[in-house]
Amino acid sequence: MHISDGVLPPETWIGGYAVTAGLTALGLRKVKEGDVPKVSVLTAAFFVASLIHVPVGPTSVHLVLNSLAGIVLGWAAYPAILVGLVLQALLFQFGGVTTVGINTLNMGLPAVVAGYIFKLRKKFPGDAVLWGALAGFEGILGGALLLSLSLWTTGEGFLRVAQLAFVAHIPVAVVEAAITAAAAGFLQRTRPEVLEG
Amino acid sequence: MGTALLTLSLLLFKTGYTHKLMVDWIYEEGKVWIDAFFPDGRPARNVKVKVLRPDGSELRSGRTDEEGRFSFDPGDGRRFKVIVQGSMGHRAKAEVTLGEETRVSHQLPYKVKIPWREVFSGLGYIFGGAGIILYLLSRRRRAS
Repeated sequence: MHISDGVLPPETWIGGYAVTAGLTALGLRKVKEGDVPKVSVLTAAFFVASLIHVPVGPTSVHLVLNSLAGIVLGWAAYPAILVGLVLQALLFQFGGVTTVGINTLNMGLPAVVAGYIFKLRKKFPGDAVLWGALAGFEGILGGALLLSLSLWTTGEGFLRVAQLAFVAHIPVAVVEAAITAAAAGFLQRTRPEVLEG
Repeated sequence: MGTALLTLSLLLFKTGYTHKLMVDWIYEEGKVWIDAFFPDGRPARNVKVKVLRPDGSELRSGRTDEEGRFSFDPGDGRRFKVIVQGSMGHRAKAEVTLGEETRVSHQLPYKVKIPWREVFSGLGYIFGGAGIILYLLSRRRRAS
């Protein structure tokens, strides 16, 4: 899900920076003083998640944890993911420096959407585990959709890229749904106030 | 507690750089063989390969085969730049200089270690940054 430097045309990655600047400002306005420790813990989780591999059949997938950030932090997940991706690009060479903006958009926006999906548990039946699973699933497949749209600007056929991206991300989405559901269930039982943000 | 859990999960699960596309090369029987792979050893199949001359012009382009390989005839050239680009936005580069092979054939699966130093420096930036933000916020609150 991390796009490297040199893949996208300048219009796309510059546009990515512009959108990310706006959404980061919006996210930062939602962070209250008491939220800073929570934001930093989820930033740290997102930062190392990509190094953690879960075996799925013959292959293994790495965690993303963007949805978990979204359900705990809401809009504040966006700047958290930006910081995580900057550090991943600089320290692990994941993705690229020019593509930090667009990569943040591709993982951050589905995280924010995951936060809204998780809030639906208050209006509809189902517990934190179910809505956490749905949020986790959406966080990855939403990311795959945005990734396909980004790669579409390189002149690739959208349907072909989207098909590849969805197939490649389904195992990731399943693992992420399970992890997000487990984390949401655990927090709901032990520290429900964390999920009220 | 969060950090302890993260560190624990790094120890428990298999870790590595799967989203990093890697490229290696060897010169054999008059041909340059390009090998594109992911660090867990999986070959990068059917990814785009571009071979450039030192002046940036294209010598050849194509796609890797089922084993992640691609070969080209270097002709009179000695130096090339090889760019490999996967379908999901992954990209890798290699500088090929014939006669200067220092490459030792890589053993698959490629051994990837957890970059502990980078992990801890990243966590340091995050929690250190949070500490600075909290300090500034509390100073502002006291001032007002």
